[in-house]
Amino acid sequence: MKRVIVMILCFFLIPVTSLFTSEEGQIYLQSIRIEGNRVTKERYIRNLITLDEDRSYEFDEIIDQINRSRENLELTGLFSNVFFNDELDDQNNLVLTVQLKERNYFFFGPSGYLGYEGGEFYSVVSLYADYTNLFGNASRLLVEVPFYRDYGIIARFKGGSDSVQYMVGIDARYDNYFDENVQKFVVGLGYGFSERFLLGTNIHVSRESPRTLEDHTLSTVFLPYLRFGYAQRLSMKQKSWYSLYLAPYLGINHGSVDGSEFYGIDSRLSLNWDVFLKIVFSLNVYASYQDGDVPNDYIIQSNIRGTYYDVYRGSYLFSVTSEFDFPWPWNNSIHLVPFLDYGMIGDSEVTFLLGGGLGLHWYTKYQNPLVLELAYGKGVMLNLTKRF
Amino acid sequence: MKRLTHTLLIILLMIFFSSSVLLAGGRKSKRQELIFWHSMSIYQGDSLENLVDEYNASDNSVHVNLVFQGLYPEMKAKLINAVRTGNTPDIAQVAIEYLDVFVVDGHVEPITEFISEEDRNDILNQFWSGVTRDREVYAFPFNLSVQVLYYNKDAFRQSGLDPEKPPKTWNEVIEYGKQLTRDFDNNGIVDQWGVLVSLEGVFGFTPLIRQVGGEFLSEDRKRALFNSEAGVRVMTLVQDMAYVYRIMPSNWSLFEGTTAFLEGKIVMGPITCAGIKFAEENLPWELGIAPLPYIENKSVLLGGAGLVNLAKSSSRRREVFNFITWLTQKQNCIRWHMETGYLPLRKSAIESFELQGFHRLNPNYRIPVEQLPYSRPPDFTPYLPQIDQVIRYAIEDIMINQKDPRIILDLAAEKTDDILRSEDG
Repeated sequence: MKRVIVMILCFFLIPVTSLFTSEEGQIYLQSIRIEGNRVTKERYIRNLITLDEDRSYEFDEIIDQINRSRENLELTGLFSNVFFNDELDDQNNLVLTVQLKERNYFFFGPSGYLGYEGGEFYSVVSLYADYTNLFGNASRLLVEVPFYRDYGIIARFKGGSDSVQYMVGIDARYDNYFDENVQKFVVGLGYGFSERFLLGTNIHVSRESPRTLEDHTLSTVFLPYLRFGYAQRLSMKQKSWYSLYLAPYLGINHGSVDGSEFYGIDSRLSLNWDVFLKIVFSLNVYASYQDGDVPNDYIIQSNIRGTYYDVYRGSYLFSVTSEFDFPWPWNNSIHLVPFLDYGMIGDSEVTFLLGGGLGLHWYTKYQNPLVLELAYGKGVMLNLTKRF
Repeated sequence: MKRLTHTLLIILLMIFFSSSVLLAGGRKSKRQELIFWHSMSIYQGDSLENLVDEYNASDNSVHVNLVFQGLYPEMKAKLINAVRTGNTPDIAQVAIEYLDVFVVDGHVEPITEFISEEDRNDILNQFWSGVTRDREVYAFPFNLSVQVLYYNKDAFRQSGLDPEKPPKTWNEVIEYGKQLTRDFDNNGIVDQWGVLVSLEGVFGFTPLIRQVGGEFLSEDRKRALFNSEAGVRVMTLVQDMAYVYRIMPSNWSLFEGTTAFLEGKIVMGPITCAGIKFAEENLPWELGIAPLPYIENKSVLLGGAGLVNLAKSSSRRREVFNFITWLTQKQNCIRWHMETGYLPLRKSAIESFELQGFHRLNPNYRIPVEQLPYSRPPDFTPYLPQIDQVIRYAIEDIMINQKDPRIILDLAAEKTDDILRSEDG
């Protein structure tokens, strides 16, 4: 009889003693190890992990915190795989190892467009480079070097934590269309109230010097902005996602036209639906308006593919761009993207624009993606614009 | 014009430069190449390809070359041809029900002695039983699955049913089905069917027979048992769903049923758990997953495939084994489950915090794992493909021509016995 009682006791004791649990049914987390981060700084990763070493947790709590930490790590976009491996040390305490697989952080490729419209050829070509994990803390450096028609350099550095984000940048380029040199200094600060809601402001100090004149325009532009929603899909289970961007601005001109002002607003609503079998339909609605003594570099221009962007300018724009994204069934890195754009732009007179065509987006290790779009609108255009 | 030519030239050079850097990055020095024939189509195929790419990218002397050889039946036919001509791949993914075809003729050697104690204990017994014949292991378990009940949560809501309370038994399926089967435009044609039980041959029929205490074949595999009272009871139940309760179309093929399910014209149906990922990401309505309903006892059929080592030299066999060990290690097991819906093979994977965290966020994936304690593989015999064909015809006769289940199952059992007797002879 004693033997039976002992056996029954043993049976009930096994689940209590076998799994990391202390007498109170808690799990003692001894340490957290990080593996697989060759570029990303360990301190940056640890800040995203919501578990503490040398602490006891309830089972449910630890599972929730692992999920939360994984989400934080995945949202950085720096890792292709995040895995929390659990092991026991000699004292039967939990040791968590966060095993990470880093993505490629360096992208580069061509950007710009060339086309034929109204009997004339036009083209703007540049090279871009994009490094997404500078200093190992998800800071980003974007550099674009226009070298055909326009030339110079455009650079932006973006950094910060998950809630506070900052940006600094410079433009130093020659704009062939207006035949002027443009120098610009840009700073920005943003605060994320949640993952979906970001408020911030950018300040531009811009100098435009026409080559044919000795005069120049110096402007200071204040651009507060609001971003709501998700520009990127968070998981494949998400069937639809959207984002809204609103940016009113106020500019003050100094120099020759001292004291004059300009103001306006840019807005974009982006809606995306996963229709079926990873086929995504995207609809972007743009509305912009401006008034005042607007420097050339800030004048609203068309975004309708198949029309010469520089030619169609005005003080307001309303446009809708739409596209289907079809992953090639036998090679998911290649996407076919038929698109149709519509817009109206102008001042006192309105120009209606319609463009459409077929794009090939090739996602490679170094291009995200390489864009080749053949568009037909007012003319014919080969569009290579990598949209940051 | 000259300007345009320059521009075009520059762009082409840039594209060439971008692509050539990419290609150059992909080149590696010559390594031993292992050919891996597989049957994973689009979704699972992508996931398998990613895993194999990772293995190839890791610092080792082997490069695994994945070759898609069609779905399981096509793979079986190609592999039979390959073993006859001696042009076998190094690794082949063989459905567990086709394994006997290669075992009986001695084309596959046992791997029992190469399996480590750790793997033997960590991989669940159910999975080993799917690849074991006469106490010898002939393949390494890889992609294994069970059937679960898929259901359309949106349709549940529209019919006033709680989407978080799916039916547990087949009797409940009938009750739910009555509410879910609807003719929206009152034209006398059903627009939405409550359920589709496409008893596709052995695999649909076996678990239901086991649910009422019956068996499909005798233990010595010499006699059909599916025409027992248990078999008749099951077929009568399914027939009644179509003709008595009218909650199920009577003559739809699996393809028609799947298409209708995708379109939302079928609300519930037993489908393999290997499709959960695909369904969650692609269906235009909210997917619910529930355990396979039961009649009296809970029972589900374990299906899927194992990896067969067909390498000829001992060094290649060792490399194949290293690769398979890597492919089925705890972390990859969990990833394979998350990316496809196939079952996690290892106890260490099932108990891991990683998987439990994933299941908390993705409860649909937990259901097939919960069914593991009562999962069993089919009754293996080298003649299972032929018997499967006999059963398919029998089910068609019962469902489409409304024949008496008892008479049809007796006839099918006679044919099955003949097939099994030919095995003896």
